[in-house]
Amino acid sequence: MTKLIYSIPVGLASSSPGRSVILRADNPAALSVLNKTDEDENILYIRLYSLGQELIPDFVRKTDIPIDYVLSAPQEQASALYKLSALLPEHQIRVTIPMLPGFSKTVKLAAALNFSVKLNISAPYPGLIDELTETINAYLHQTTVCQPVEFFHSLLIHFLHNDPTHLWLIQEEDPAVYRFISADGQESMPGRLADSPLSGLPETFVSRFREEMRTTDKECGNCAFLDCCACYFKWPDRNFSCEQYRIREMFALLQQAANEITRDQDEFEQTTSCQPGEST
Amino acid sequence: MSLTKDPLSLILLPTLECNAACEYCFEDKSKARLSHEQLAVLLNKVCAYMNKQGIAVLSINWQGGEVMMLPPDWYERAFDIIQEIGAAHRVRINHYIQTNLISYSPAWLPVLTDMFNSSLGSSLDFPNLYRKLPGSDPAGYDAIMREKIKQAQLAGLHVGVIAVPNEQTLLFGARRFYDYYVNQLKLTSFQVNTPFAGGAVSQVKLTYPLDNEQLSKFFIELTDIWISEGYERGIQVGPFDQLLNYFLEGDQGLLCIWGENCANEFFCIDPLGNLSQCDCWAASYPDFHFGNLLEPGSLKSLLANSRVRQRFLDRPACLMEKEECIDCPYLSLCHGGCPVRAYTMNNKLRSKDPYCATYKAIFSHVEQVAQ
Repeated sequence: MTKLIYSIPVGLASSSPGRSVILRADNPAALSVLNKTDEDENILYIRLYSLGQELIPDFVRKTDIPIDYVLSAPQEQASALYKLSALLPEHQIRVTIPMLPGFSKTVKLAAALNFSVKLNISAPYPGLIDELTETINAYLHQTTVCQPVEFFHSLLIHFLHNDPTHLWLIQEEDPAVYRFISADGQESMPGRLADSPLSGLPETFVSRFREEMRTTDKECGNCAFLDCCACYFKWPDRNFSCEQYRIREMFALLQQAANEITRDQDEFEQTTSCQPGEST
Repeated sequence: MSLTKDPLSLILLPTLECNAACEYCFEDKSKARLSHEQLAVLLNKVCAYMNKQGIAVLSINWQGGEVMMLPPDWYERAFDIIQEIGAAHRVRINHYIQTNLISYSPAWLPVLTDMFNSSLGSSLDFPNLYRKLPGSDPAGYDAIMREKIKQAQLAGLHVGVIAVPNEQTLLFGARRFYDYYVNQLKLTSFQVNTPFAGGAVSQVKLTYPLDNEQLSKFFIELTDIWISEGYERGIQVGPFDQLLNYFLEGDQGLLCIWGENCANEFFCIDPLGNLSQCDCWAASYPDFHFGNLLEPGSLKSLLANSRVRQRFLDRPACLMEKEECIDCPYLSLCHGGCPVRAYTMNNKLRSKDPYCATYKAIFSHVEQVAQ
């Protein structure tokens, strides 16, 4: 059975002993409630929604707890990344960027500053796929991009190694693994599922939803990327048109890159497996 | 905003006096010298800061003025003082020296060996048009320099050289340039820096920046010659060797003009105790001093409260909004380039480096070479 991971407000940290948690804090000052002496191995990371004068409190910097800095207005907050990047040599920091118009520039800056990046998939907008394609191509082919950009990175690994993952899991929204605890301690489903009562067990939500869409939706029924997408874009609007927003192009780009890597590896192995003197 | 990088890098100017009279120098010279007592005050503050930040290693880059205007025994005493302070704070300290070598003699050998690990950096241009001794000409300077480099090499010292190209360098071409340093001077390590118009106005500075198109062509040719003739022999030609390492290995150790933000990387202290971003700002731009470390107060508070330093810290983010840097495929390598080159040639700190086109050309070429 998969161990659940709870996203909880930092103020409730002490009330969740033994649970694997992601701590949420509106600002660095809110982290002062943490026990400063014990490094709790159950804290997977701290999700921070704003930065203070000292960026991250000294006592947190002295721990190994990674930070996930969540941007709400990427273009306005981009300059904060320069300040935060000074901490990167000593601390693991990821930047989460919402896919709002212009997000590709913020991803580019974050990657240029050596942050790992996670994209939060927001409501689609005209031009989304162009920005997405540009960002995927930079992630895949630009030699100056060295850090993982999620969800591309996990999908690429999926295509390379048949890694059994899907977008709900990558985006930390699979209710079989993730749960959300509100400020008043109420438990709900993660991410976009929070406001939607689920019928059936949360643990089987993704497989049930995927099967439902496969049998009822023509796009999903014919989609080569059904397994790894798991109809992520069809929630909550089941009528969302993947064709209109060219969603499959995104998957195809990553799959093509994985195929190229596999082919290159095969060629390399064939070359190196030849004995000296043998013709290649 | 604290400096957190380990090792911490300090450019220390123990004197602003110089025995040369180079036409393109960016420093306003003075007789100012650092005393050993002042050195102890400064180093104690730097090491206390490092202790608080958890930084274990300090790199001191000794520059001037001309560092050899102070005698060898001044450095021997300084070395003892610094060793004591470092030990007391449990900080390891490495020393690097940049000198014009004019005053070099065998008397320098012990200190260069013990303190500077038998290695030094110097400066020499090809062709030399602007480096001179007072009342002399470039040819006379060159003759002395060639002799001093030879003496230092024969004494077992490793000599690296910074070369600043000029308009004639570009006419002569990369072939003659490479041959001069590697085959004539027998250097195994040299670095090419771009010139800028810092400090007092002079005729030569009015010709800066050099033409980006010609400079790009020169750099690309130099890279190709180095790759074909020097790379496998272990010859280092900066900044191309560092760039190649970046594209081959992801090594982030690039020239200071490139990088996220030099204000997060290092700072400079002059003989009067003034803090500034680097030696290019120290002597000629008092308005750009962060403050004075010989006055009461800690290094941490000085760094944190300096509004001038904040302008440096804010510069790259500002360029992302104002310039086209955000659209550049080499953003991660450059971040808008060097503040002093931008300021001295655009009269604006928050503007991109005037050698942008040259940098892009080099980045692109070395990237192709690496592939």
